[in-house]
Amino acid sequence: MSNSFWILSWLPFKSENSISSFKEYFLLEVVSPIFNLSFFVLIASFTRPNSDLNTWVIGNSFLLSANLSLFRVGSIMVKERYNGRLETLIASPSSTFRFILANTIFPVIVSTITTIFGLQISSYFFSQSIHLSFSLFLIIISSMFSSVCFGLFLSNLAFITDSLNFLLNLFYYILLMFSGANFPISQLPHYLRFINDIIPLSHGITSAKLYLSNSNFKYQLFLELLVGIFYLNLTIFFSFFLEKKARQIGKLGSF
Amino acid sequence: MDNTNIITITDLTRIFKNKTGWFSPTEEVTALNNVSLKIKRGTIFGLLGQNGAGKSTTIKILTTLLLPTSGNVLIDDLDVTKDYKEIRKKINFIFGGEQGVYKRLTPLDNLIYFGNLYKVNTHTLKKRIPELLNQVDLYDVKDRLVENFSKGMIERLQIAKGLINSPSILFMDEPTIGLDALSVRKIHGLIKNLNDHGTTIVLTTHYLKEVEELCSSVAIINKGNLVAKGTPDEIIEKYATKGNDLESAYISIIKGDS
Amino acid sequence: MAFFQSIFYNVLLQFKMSLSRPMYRFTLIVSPIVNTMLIFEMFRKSNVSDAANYIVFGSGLMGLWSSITFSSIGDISRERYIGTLSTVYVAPLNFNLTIFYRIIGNTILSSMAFLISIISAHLFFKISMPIYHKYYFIISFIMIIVSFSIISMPISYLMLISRKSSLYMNMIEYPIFILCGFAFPTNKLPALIRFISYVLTPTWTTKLLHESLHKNLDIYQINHAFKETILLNLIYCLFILILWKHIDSQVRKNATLEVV
Ligand SMILES: Nc1ncnc2c1ncn2[C@@H]1O[C@H](COP(=O)(O)OP(=O)(O)OP(=O)(O)O)[C@@H](O)[C@H]1O
Ligand SMILES: [Mg+2]
Repeated sequence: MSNSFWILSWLPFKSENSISSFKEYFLLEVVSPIFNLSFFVLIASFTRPNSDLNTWVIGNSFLLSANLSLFRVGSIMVKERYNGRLETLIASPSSTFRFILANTIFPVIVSTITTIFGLQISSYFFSQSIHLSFSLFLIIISSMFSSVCFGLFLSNLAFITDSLNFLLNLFYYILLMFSGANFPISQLPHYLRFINDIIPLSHGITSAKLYLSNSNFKYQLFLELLVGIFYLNLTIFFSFFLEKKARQIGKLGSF
Repeated sequence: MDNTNIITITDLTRIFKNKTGWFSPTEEVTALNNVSLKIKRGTIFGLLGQNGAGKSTTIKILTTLLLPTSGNVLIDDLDVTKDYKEIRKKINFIFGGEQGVYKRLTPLDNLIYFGNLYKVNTHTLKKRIPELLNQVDLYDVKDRLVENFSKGMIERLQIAKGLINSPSILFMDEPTIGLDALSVRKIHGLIKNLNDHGTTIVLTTHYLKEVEELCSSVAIINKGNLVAKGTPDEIIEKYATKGNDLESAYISIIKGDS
Repeated sequence: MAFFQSIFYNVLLQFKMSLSRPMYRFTLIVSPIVNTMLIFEMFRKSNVSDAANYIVFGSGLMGLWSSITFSSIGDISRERYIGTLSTVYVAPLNFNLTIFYRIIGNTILSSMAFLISIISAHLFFKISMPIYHKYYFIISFIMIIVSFSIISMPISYLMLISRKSSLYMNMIEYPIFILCGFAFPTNKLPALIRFISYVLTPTWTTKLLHESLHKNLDIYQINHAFKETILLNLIYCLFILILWKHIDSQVRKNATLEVV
């Protein structure tokens, strides 16, 4: 990858997440998700007293760091627009696609680190510690990749809607309900279960659970990657289409 | 000086469709109505008009950010609707105000970023960025965060950003809005200097003195219609009632039109 | 009388202001629905005896607190961002009163979350909540409104002195869910942490609510929870007075009302 690509990845990330201190990073990216996670794990410990809590620890640490990247990445375009930079982005000779792709790198890295942190700390508290192996690392990074791609897909909607924030929140709720992090999908009505298959994260969570129970996790891992690639392609397709639409209706500026 | 037209606008109309509520009917706003205009290569061209006249809309169409509803716009013989990718390589723009740059990065990082976005090669960038920073007087503060800058400093950074790809046409939408007298003078100096080096500049402004000082040619738009064009002197001669300045001419044009 | 009229007017104004914000409407309406569904699924097939209380009122309490953090507390960082915070701060209407009106308005409005939880539980899962003891229930509900209003006050103050308030806004939502026993009893918490629960009023109002919903009332428990609520609220009020003096001087010293 070219030097220029790294510059396009790093500088906007640095700017938007100018986490000025380690303390801030730690509070926002680690402590806050751990609170959320603890809440759900504690409910599980109350309602399912004899279960292995690691099931919930895994599901929620995936879910919560994916949520962080969903919001971070999902609002990229809104922020560009709000700050009056979207016009430059569009009018520059670089393709929007390049910009989009550049924006996956650091969010994936950060949310992978966050997941690992969350998993280690909370499994230590709630159950027996989870050992981080290469396979588990692969599962985490693939899940984060697919959620970031999903976030990018949503970010494109900034071209046509003003209420992206709703959509992001709505999709968080969808992940919360359908990713299988907090209760098995088999509890849901049949006609809703397909959602589990098409959202990011759910296969990753299943894969991680299978891995920890020493079963074959590779197929689910593969599905998770597939979901990510699907959303990436959709993003590319849409960004082209939406840019044109935006020029027609004049929604590039911030006002 | 080369006297060919670098921009040719023919019968340009732009209509916005606004929806005010979910169930209310769409309302149409004609931001530009049958505007025809030619801009000569190497000039500083001023676009004047009341708030909402359609100046920014014109600039956005010229910078390929907005599609015309009808009409024809050529930049260097390239069509803004079809050949926008080619056009984008030759132009750049600055929208006044404090937006458009990364506030939480330094000017240096901003220019590196936009340089890469404009696909300027690294070798050229290494040379050009310090030059630009010097030119806009920001070299000494190149490592400070932009969020601590004054409006004037941000505007100068915008100019450096606008020049990062050495455009042959630079569009500026109200480049001196809200700046103090000295900052304005500095920016005027920069604009003249650029123009001396061959860059065509198209700017909009509400300051008529600015137009008199900078522009060799102007157009006045009122409610989407082109109502006057020519050199400032021609316009003053034709329209000025009291006094002998552009302001008087401008006021009588706008009043006469409504 | 004029005083009450002014409260009424300002609270009404706050209703309008909050409701005009699409994101607030979203939080107020959608989050209790999702919480109800999620908590229901998590409690499904469990042996918890008063599961229905946790599902319906737990998600109601969560919705209430989320809406409060979004409105009463979040407003401060939003206003700082759009630049109106300093105007509100120096305006002739006493700033404490402004905040107080807002908090009351938002808390009352946000308590709609309960209604939404009750309706969704009934609609989706056919859970109905019989209320055996109307008056106890009403009293505990009023205590919830009062206590949540009072606890929002010092948190709002703290938001004033930090530019990073949106960061901290994220940090106060779930800890309250956890510490105050919204969806599981506080005895699930480690003893050390349970200690913090006991000094938070929502813990006691939640307990009061749960107790008042039982068919056979345990008057001793109710009395205990009620007394604790009153006592803690008084202590909070005292604390608010002291804190305000400190905050007021800090705010002007560090100029934290505006973003830089
Ligand atoms: N994206 C848009 N959607 C709908 N209407 C728009 C849009 N952009 C501009 N307009 C309308 O088009 C008209 C012209 O606007 P424009 O921004 O071009 O004015 P302007 O001359 O730049 O004014 P100002 O001096 O205030 O900047 C206005 O009536 C404006 O409301
Ligand atoms: Mg304008």
